[in-house]
Amino acid sequence: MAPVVSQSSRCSALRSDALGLGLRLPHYDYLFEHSPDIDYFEIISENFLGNAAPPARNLARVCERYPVVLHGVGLNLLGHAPLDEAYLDGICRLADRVDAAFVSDHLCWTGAHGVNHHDLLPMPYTPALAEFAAERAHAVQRRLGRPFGLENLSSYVEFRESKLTEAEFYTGVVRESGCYFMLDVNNVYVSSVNSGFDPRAYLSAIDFSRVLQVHIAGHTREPNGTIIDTHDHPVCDEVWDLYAHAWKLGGPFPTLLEWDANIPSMPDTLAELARARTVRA
Amino acid sequence: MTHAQTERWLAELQARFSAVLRTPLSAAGGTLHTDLRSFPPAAIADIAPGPRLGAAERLGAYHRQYWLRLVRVLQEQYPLALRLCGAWDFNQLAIAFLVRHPPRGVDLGDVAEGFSEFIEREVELAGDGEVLKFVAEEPLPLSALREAARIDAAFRRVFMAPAEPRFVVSPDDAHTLPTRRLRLSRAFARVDEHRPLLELRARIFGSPDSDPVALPALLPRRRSWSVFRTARGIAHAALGDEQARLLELLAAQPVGDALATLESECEPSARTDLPERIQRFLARAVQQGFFSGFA
Repeated sequence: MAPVVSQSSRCSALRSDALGLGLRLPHYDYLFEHSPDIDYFEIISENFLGNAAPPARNLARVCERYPVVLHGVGLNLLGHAPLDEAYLDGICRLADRVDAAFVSDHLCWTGAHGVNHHDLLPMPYTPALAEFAAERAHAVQRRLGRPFGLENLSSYVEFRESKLTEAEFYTGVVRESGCYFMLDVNNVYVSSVNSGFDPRAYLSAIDFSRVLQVHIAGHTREPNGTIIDTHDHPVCDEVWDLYAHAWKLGGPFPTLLEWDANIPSMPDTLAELARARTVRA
Repeated sequence: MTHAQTERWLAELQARFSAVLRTPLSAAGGTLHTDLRSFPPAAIADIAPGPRLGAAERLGAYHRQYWLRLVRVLQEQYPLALRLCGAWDFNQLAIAFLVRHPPRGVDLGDVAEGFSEFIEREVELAGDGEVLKFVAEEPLPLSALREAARIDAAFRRVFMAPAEPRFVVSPDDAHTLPTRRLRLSRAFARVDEHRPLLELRARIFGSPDSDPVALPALLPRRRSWSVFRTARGIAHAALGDEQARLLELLAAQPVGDALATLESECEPSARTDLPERIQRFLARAVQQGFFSGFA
């Protein structure tokens, strides 16, 4: 499938080596008082789709000062049901409102049979599902009229029915859809430990000319050894190493730190984000 | 495989996976935990064993995350109910709610929608009809839990309300005001309490603790509060009996009828300065955004 958005529009509003932060409620006071030096913010789209006044007011204030990109968790790209048209309309309106350089969501399913599980859930990696996903992602990007990035999942299981590796599935969907990679390096690490694959080999499969953004984040190790993608810790050394490797393979690319629980103060969060510059130097 | 076949395959596989997620946490042994034996065998059969863990153990990570995430939303949005119940009882209540009312919308915050109504209408009672069956040690009267949940829900509703233009009464409106009904703003709520629960809520709000707090004693009489949104967040202010009654009447009647009813209910000795009191209150109510316009 031919790309519907030209390469030249990639990250038009962001510097290629931009450092961004996931916008989170505990940082609002500091943000509005100090206007810290941050290249851009990423918002969780679903937090701003409703008509509640406070989120809309806060977002408007952020947009006055910073570029904003959208990151969704509710597209349900691999769900059995048709894509939710009303939801997509809302995402389009929100992207227009904040003039998002790009929009991203996950290569996963999030609900089934009318119930939303509010989690990013895995599927067997098969050629038929890759084709199905690519067609849907292509339609989403066309509808958005701006670059659409697909994020690789952090996974805790593999399916017996899988015929492809995760890297083969991911790269195949991005290639066939004409969309982009929203590459989460922490997720590559989490899945590699949980499933026992080589994370560097995974990165070698990525076409970095089609990477819109790279995510970094912390995670938690459960007592049974499973690594859970909790975004509640600093980025670990192994993930920093992997990030540096990705930079060597395909940098520069915009980099975004996600921190969703046990969120430290804004200065501490920014210090963690600044490590990206040191690590990739 | 055609797309229709892919969709059917996805529907079946996702139904099996969903059944795992929605299996309630077990409370056996005094802790809420994932019981791998409760997972449907067909869902386990879909999963390959990992480098260290078997299929069911691997699925268990999703199960724990599912319940943790959803229960946490309810804890955050119902802080008063949480602290009165304590985490152990509240979490079981939350799980019971989520089993009966699984989330359907895309906004995670909406998971808590309907929780107060669930406590109001669906929570089962213990044998004596007074005590919530989930409460094991210090019994919490169901009426107190319901009142706490109503208060939490009011704060949640006010916070989530959409922006509305400020209500301004023009000179033209003044002529027709008595025959018209006022529309209460969605960013305003009136709540009643029989125990000092709003003060308790203000004290515990934002605290990371989840230990149970003592239930405050009954007040000599019911108190009413206005809960409303300001530029700095959600505020609450006490309402006198007369003010609470007026708001109740205004929600149901044209302004003139409401004022006449209030006057008729007023003690003769308090009638003289009633218009002045009411005017002062209504001016404050308009200024604080209790109304959004005419109905």
